[in-house]
Amino acid sequence: MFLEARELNTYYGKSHVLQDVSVDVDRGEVVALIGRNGSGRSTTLKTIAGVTPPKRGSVTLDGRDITGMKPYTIARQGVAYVPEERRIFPNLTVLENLKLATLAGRKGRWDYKKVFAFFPRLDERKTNAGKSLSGGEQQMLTIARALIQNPDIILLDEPLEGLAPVVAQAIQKAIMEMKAEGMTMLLVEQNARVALAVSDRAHVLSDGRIVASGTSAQLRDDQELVQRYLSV
Amino acid sequence: MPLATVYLTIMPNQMIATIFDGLTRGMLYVLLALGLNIILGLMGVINFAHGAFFALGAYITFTLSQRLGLFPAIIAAALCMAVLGMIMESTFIRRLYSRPPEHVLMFTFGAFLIIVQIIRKIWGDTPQPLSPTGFLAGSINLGFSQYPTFRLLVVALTVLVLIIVYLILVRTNLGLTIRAGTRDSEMVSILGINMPLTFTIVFGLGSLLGGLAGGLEAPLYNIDPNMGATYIIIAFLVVIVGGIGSFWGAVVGGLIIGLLQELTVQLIPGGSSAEDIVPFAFMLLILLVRPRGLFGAEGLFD
Ligand SMILES: Nc1ncnc2c1ncn2[C@@H]1O[C@H](COP(=O)(O)OP(=O)(O)OP(=O)(O)O)[C@@H](O)[C@H]1O
Ligand SMILES: [Mg+2]
Repeated sequence: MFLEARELNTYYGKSHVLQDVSVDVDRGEVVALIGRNGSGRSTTLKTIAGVTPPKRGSVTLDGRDITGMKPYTIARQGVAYVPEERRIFPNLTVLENLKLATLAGRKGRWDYKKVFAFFPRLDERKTNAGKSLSGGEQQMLTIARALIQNPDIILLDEPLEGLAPVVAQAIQKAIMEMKAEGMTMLLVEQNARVALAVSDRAHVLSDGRIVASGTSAQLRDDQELVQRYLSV
Repeated sequence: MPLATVYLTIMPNQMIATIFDGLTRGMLYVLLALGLNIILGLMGVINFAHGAFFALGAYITFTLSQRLGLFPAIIAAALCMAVLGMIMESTFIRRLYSRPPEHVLMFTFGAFLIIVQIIRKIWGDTPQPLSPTGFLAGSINLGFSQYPTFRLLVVALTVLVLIIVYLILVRTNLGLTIRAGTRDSEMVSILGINMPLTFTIVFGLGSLLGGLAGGLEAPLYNIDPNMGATYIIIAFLVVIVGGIGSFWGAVVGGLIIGLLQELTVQLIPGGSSAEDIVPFAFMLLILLVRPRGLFGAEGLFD
């Protein structure tokens, strides 16, 4: 597999949040991480991105061990992480937010032109400050910021969270288009129905453990599993 | 400002000279506070050692000027402080970012005390005089009066340095990184940017500004081992008045406080006893009206 996370154990202080979590994603695949609030989905992405390094376990990318590397080194290996909180720089313009992502990013298909064609709304708001963007625009920008790095894989955390239904649909459509372009993604999404519709495979997390894995089609049909781990 | 108007009509030349003196003093504060503020804004480090770099900058200028001449000595001393700042950041301070903020505060305070003791050991306790020499010792006719050339150099050099720092902040990739990092440095590193290196560079830049302020101060007033303590307090005050993490805050705050002090000393009878109090009174006033400082939350790298 392209990305292999093996038996990750991550702590926040003394609290043992990820317990032997293993996740893998192959090139061109979209894999979803689903589970209830607090089940450790975000922590899994952060651990892979190097933001919360694991105490035990390993992450390899195309066979290269990236465990314990600093976030900026991991990013330079081709891993783009789109955090749940979006973390747009409010004092920078849309263009500057993108420029920052290109500084250490690689050159490739995704340049300003393609990104702005992909999110025309951002093109219109190029010179506006990050703090003036709506939630949907911020989400577009944070995804655009990942794309323009031309990564090998994007770790996408709850891209639809807190968005009005129409806006959420637009973002979902963008994710589908990224998938159609062959972008590899590890996706965390609260809405399991959407997550399983978008992804090829999925892992189910509960209390920091992987409790089920399979193709998204299989998991979609498993009513009992959905009841136990996903319904609120 | 009725008092000022009176002075302006009675002795305008004296008034203008006082304003120039205030600006020169303010320029030193601006340089010192800007260095402090960039480091505080980006890394969240309250850097007491900055005051020691200021003093050390002055002493190194003092020693080097005997061989190199004053102006090259000032530049060389500032560069020395940049290197020292980078060494301090990359060997000690970097290990403390992940710890509670008081740890790094204790470290910089300790570093301040140690450096000041080293200054005492090398140069002794008594204040040292350093006068501008050669061309810089003269004065230039500005119309309203003869004005010391060196003071004009302080103003010109500071303005030049401010323009350079400003251009770095708004035009360069480093500046973009600093402005973003001041808000969320972790997110900047998630975008693949080497933040540890950026921190070291910015610490060097900040320390350079502190050392430069020291070198420029040396020929204006006596230098003594305690100068860092006096100045670092004013610099923190400027940062608070101007707004944490703000370029314009440091500039405007530093100039106002320098002016206020000089006006108090020169224009109010017996004013020199109030010299140290005026900046504090001004800070309290500003904080009552604008708790985040003059440019808080809208500054350049904020
Ligand atoms: N910075 C932190 N410090 C301490 N505990 C944390 C921290 N971040 C998360 N946790 C805890 O770790 C557990 C997993 O959190 P995580 O953010 O990975 O959950 P999640 O599945 O993404 O859910 P959600 O996004 O809905 O909160 C939770 O119990 C959470 O309270
Ligand atoms: Mg989460």
